[in-house]
Amino acid sequence: MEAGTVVARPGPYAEAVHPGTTPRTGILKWLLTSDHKLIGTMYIWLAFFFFAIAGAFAMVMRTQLAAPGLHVLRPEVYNQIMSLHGTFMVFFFTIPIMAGIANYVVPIQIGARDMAFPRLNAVSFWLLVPAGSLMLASLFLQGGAAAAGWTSYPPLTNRQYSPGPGVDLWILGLHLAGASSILGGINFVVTILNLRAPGMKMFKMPMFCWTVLVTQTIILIATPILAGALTMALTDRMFGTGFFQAVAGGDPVLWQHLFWFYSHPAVYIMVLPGMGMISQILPAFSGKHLFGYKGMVLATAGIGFIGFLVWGHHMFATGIDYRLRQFFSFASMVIAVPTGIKIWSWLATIWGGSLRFRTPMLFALGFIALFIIGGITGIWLALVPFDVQVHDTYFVVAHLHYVLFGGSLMAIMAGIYYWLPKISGKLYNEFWGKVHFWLTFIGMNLTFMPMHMMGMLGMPRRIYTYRPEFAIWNHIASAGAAVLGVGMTIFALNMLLSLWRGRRAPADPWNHSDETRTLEWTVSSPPPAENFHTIPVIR
Amino acid sequence: MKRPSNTLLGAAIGVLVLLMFSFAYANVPLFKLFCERFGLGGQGKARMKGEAASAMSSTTGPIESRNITVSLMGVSASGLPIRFRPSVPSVVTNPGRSVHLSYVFTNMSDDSVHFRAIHSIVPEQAAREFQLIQCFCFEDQSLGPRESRTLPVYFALSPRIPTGIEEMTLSYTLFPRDPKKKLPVPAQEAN
Repeated sequence: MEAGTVVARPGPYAEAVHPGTTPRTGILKWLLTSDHKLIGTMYIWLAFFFFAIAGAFAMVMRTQLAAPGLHVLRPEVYNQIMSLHGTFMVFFFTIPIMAGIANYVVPIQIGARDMAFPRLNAVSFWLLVPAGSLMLASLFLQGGAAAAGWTSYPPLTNRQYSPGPGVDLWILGLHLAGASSILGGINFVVTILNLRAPGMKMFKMPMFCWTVLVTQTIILIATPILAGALTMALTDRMFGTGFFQAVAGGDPVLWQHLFWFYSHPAVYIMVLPGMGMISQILPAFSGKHLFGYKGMVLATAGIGFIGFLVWGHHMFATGIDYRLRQFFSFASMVIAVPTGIKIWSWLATIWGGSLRFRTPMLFALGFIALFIIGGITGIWLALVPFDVQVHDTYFVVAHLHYVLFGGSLMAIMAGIYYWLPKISGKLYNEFWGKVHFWLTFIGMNLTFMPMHMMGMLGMPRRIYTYRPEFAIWNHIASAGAAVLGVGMTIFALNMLLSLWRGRRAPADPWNHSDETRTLEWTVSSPPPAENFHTIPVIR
Repeated sequence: MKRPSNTLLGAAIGVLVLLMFSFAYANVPLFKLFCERFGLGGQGKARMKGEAASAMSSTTGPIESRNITVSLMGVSASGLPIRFRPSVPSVVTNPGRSVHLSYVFTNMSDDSVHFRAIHSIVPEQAAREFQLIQCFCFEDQSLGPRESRTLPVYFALSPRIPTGIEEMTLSYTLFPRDPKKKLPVPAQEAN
């Protein structure tokens, strides 16, 4: 990182942002806080709580699918669990935990005392609590939770086919989560543009801050579109409008356009901050600066821009015009160019470095390996004939899990292991961290690699059982899920034990070289109130 | 460069958010206009060609007076021990009218058989206007030992079927579902 050199002397921003406030203790410290570090920490806790629930849903699904013809779940309950698994993993785990880590790390990395709007930051976090709770609560209502998948296509979500309150609560929950994202987005963009320490020019910012800036810009452009679509869906159900109902002159395909105009960029919302984390972790454990910093920044912005031009590739099977198919197919393949720039830059970063295979580094390398597989199957799916053939099969499930599990989750784990000592001030057990990595890496491939085969053989997704010829691949996938479950349990225990009785972490537990040390490693672990005694000046 | 105040920048971004939210609603008319202007999507195509939208669907279109005879055939390939025949050998119908008939299947062996039916429609130039609405060929079928079953077929000819076509043939070929698996032998031969 070029933002490494720090001269600690009083700068023009040295005044405290919360003058005269008395530090609170106990539960009130958390409930009433507007401190970005506490809010970031709460984001991470809440996201992991939802992750545990969504992960448990996944385990129940894999149990149901372990053999053909099992009756662990009733078919309609399977649909609800499957829908909530996707929704929670996307909207209540991956997006919030990225926001949580960014909340903690970004202000320190740019040399700020807090976010630009600390109270708004608290609002963003607290909106997530009712959002997730509403959706979870719907499981226990008459009719159960939403069962139309995380994509919730009409007419399946119309009152006629989903009569219970599940879909209504799903919509309301997403509305609140979307509002949380938007408010957070405003805060991040203003913070990064306005609160950088003296001398911290845009092209001196650590790569993670750049990816957060691009991600939050995507959120600000895309999320309001989803909010609009959700409002239309809600009024269709509640007040008899017909935006997505063919009988009323509406068009169900319009939902797909609006949904994917948000949800394809949402893939980058979930992956770009992970790429930023990887771009910091690889240099830290290679002893070299990031290769091609400016190219990486441009590639990040390029992915963000092209990400808005490819939504139609989710809709090849809807019968959209062949000219649109050609355009979306081409644009989807073009996105491999900036992604390829990133991957080559990461490889060049570790090339010839003195590598230290600590847990964050293992997860970062695992990210690269798995994300490449997800990226390559993404190129296949950009090809219309192939996409139409495997549409709605397990091939798509395999692809999206290689991107979001192999990509986002591996990066999140890398980031958590990397910054946990900074956040908690405690060291974790490195041995169990590595065990967690290997169980995750092996379990992940066991679970999702066979899904490619299932999909090519024609096994449809989102169905609670299957024909006997798919049994062998499902046996393997369910065994892999069990391995993942063991790995995640070890992770949880390791983290909790480190919080309880871990050794104290020094300011820089990873011994960064001068060229890779970013500002958060120059302050104590955890950082002091308002981060810096005096605002650093970057040379 | 002087930075704008946090409030000003935050408010400006808030305006962008509101614009994007409005854009979602603007898409409702824009979507239709775009499709119509550039002829993208089925809705646009129908209007571009100056046809009524109802002509797209054979079941809702006007019923024409010209007669077309549809012959029904079927053959069991690859030694499958199944006999099957249509409820009628042929049917006279009109474009726009839907037809409901059935096929009777009999398993001649003492084992279960799993099979799939592949359909074929001639003449080729009219085949795309022959719309199968319900058919046993849409999914794999199974018959128990010696079981006999009647399965429905529901089809309609589109009003857009070329004039001059007076006869059509709908035929089925049955194939075993698992080609590598040994087929059961018909009971009579086993005896």
